[in-house]
Amino acid sequence: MNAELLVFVIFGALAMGMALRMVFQSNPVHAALHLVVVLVSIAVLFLAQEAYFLSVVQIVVYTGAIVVLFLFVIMLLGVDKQDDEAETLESGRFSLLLFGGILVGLVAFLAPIAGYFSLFEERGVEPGTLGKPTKVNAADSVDRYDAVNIAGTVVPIAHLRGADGAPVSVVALSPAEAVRFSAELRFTDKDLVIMNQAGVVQDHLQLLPQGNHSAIDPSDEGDTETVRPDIQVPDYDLDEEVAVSEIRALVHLGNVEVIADSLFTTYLLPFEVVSILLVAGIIGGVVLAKRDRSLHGSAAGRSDEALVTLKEGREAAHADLVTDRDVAVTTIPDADASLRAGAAAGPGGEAAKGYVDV
Amino acid sequence: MSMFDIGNSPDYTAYLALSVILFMIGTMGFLLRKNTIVMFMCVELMLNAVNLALVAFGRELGHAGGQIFVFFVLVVAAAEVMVGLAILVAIYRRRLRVSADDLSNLSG
Amino acid sequence: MDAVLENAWLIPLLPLMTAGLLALFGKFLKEPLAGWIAFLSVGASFLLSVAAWIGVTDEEHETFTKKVFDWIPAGGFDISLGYRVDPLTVVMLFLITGVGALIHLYAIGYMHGDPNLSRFFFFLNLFVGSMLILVMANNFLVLFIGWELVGACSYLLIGFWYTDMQKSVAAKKAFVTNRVGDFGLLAGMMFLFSYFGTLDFDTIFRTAPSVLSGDNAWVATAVALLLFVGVAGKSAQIPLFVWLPDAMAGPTPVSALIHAATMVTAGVYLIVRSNVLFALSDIASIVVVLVGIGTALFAALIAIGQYNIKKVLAYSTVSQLGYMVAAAGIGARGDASGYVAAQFHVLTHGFFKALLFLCAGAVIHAMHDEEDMRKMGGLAKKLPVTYATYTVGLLAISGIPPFAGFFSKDAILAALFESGEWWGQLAWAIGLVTAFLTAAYMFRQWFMVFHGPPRWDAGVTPHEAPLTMTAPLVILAAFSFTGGFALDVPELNSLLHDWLHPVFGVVGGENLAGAAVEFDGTVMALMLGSVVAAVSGVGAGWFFWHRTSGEDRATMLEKLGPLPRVVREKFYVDQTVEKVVQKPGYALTGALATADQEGIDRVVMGLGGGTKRVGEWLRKGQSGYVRAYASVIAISVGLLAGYAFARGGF
Repeated sequence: MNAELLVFVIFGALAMGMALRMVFQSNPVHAALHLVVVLVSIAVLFLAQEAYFLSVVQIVVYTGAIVVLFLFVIMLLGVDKQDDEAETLESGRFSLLLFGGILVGLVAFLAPIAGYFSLFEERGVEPGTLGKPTKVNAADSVDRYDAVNIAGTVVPIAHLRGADGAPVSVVALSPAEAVRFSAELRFTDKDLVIMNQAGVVQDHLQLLPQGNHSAIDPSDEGDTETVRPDIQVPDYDLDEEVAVSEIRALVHLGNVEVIADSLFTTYLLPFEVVSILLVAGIIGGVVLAKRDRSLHGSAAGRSDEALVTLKEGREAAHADLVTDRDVAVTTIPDADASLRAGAAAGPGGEAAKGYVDV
Repeated sequence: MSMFDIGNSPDYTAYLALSVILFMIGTMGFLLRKNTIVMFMCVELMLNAVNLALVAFGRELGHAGGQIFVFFVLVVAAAEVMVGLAILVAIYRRRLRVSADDLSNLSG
Repeated sequence: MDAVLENAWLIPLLPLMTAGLLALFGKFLKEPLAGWIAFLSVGASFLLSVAAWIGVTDEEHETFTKKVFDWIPAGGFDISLGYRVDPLTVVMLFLITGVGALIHLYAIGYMHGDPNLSRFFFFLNLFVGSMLILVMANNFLVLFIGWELVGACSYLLIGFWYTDMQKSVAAKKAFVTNRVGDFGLLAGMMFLFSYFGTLDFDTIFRTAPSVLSGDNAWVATAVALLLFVGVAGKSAQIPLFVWLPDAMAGPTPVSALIHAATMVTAGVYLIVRSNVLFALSDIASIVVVLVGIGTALFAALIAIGQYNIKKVLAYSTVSQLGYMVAAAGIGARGDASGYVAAQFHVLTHGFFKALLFLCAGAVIHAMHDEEDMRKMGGLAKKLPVTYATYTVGLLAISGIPPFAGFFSKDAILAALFESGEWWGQLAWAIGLVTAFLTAAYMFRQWFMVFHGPPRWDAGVTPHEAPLTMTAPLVILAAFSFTGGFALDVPELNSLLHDWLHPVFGVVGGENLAGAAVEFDGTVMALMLGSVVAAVSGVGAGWFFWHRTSGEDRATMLEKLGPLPRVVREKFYVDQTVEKVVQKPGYALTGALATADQEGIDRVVMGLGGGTKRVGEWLRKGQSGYVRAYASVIAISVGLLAGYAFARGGF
């Protein structure tokens, strides 16, 4: 049994189960604790996918910060037992059915998509192992890995065998893509195929022994003699040692350096924008959580009166709604004293329940 | 062939399926629960499901973008939780309740 | 003198800047100060105009144009804000800044004690600046800016005492009537742009003879007639003259500056400036000449029946403008040099009409704001300076040699006669009659105001005006005396003619300035005719309004039947306009208002009501519950995903 599969099955099941329990848990504190388990499971799944850095961040940020914040707010508000009985599934039965249906449908649709990737097995290439340089010589169809420097960008090449056993060199953004397309398109080992990010063949070059390369018009199928001198192909470097380390950098992504490199080069602007967002979030949180002084200062009387007058009108309208529900929270310790006093003083009898509808 | 063929590592579709399931559970929870704090947790769950899918895609394509976006989602989620919980605290101060069904002032 | 011309933009800018200053800080300027600042800025402009004149002379009458900046560079529509200094501009600059400065000086005395003095000088300076923009424009659009601005200033100044209903109504009338004219000017400009692709004077006038020939000949007529609509509005020609007499509601210095000396001559200036366009069309020329001379006669007839001292002068202004327009219309046909004659009359008329208005102002001032001539009389001894200067102006307008008006009016009549066209000679005959009438009604006014027994109201003690008012009178009187023979006399002196010569375009190989007049038998006969007409007019005025007593005059008038009444009622023009234009206009607007309220409003309100009802219905869907909204989103996403899968992938 494959180790990754084992991890996936165990922690996937754990995540699903705990997520369900979280949803159906009436006590918010317990729900939060279940959430912790789900998040840790997902962190483990990250680990299984070689996203080492993210898995650590997941635990630190989510369980360490976000869930603690949740718990803190739950404790602060003292709402841990407030709405347990009120939480029945009656009102949501229809949606439950609907989304259960959609869920099943989606998974059912995913199966044929997965079937497409049976390709990997037929070629004898182990999917998911292609990116690992340590296994380069082990896989039978992959002879070796290279990298070429095309227009300043290092791209990995997989030298592998095609369906008919002929050697093929493929340049692609991902080794898995390389395998798939070389198998389908049947290039020879004299060809260097360049694909764009979506896996579409952009150009293919014929590798000439002297190292002086020209572009070949891909529309001329198989006619390798149609050399297009008008397309200038830059020199590329096939230094094997450099190539291997760069492939490691590009392919083997569970690596802090690669993330840092992308984050501070390609994604620098989004990174800065997100930083600003975070700062704005901090300020917003502080502003919102700050107690409204006007309710307690000299203006408090007036605004409370207004509140009460407003409330009276609303309460008449909401009377049945209110009595319907278990909303008596007269002894909530953290309740705003002045607000409650104002509400109680109002002629509306409902105010005694401490339910203040503004 | 099967998606969970013994002996092979799960391919990215397996992770996607798990991601979809978690996302659906999150959605369901969001729709079924009344407690705004729990609803919030469900949103976090949905975000995590998406993160899982992003990592799986990134690995499949051999592209760093997948993980980078997870990183961004994490940051945004942190900011969102911060503001969201602050809003909850503010609402609670006014109304002494955090049930979503009591917050219907925007009704037409 | 290059530096002067390079900086000639300062000429309009100085009054405009002062206007801004007065507008912003007018409240803090004590009474005489505002006036003096305004006067000094216009005076400085005058000095700069002198410098510009020298500059143009040095460059041998070269036309100087300068682009200040690109104003509207919009693809093919490329308008630059620039100015042009050429002999014609210089003549106008002298008139505007010279007469303008004198009238500013006069206004300091005349407006003494008015609480809104700084506002008055703000408007007045704004007017001078706008008028300078108008005459210094190097393309039609900039000219149009000036044209509109002077119209706005005219409106503001007529209604200066806006608390008086009658005066604000008069202001409105002037404004609306001018709009009708502006429409014509604007349409003409559009025509020009569509055929020339530019509004630049140089380009249009240089290429017009070739562009507007052959199949495009009708365009010249259309453009000239449309421009003439604008001219008729601004220069008070039939049928748009009705606003000018009412414009006398404004303060007298305004009447003198704007509604006699400068703004109303803008129309004549436009024709002279666009001489090529008008010269290219015979039909337009006939229309212009006949409308002009018709206006001259018509206004002169009305003037005879008026009792208001300023109204008489106003109608005489309309009449004189008719002369100018007729002269400008005849242009260079035959041996005529109508453009020069028109511009000549613009100048001399600017001098003597400003003088007459200022004298009238002095009289009104002395009579404690009494404007009815029937309550004047015998003022000669009380107001000696005013009397003397008025007399000079009177002789000038009546065409008595050697006063200025004689030479310019004679030049016009000669141009009309020597054009060799039947319509020119018809106009000449009418012009001669008008000359007779002019002398008659002016002397009527002179006798009624300064001679005969005093008919003052009780408590009125006439007194001579202060020095700031009399000094301009004396200076203008000097110009009214010398302005004619100093500028242009047949055979002896062709100063103005030579000066303006380079301004005119060339059509058919001939310069439109026309030939300098040589003294021959025809000219002598024509002069004699003018003099006879003028002198007989003087005689008629003396006989009818001085020698004949009031009762005799009444019996004589009775014999004329309804005519005197008709004249006194201004040929019922205002009433006719009211019936023909105003009443249907009201009816139309009333109908439109009804259509708007009953038709369009209902549709709009119905739409609003319908939207509201739909909204009432839709708002039921807005439960306010977060989970309901989330369900809708989730269901929608689910359906979309299902659809995508059903299609076989995204």
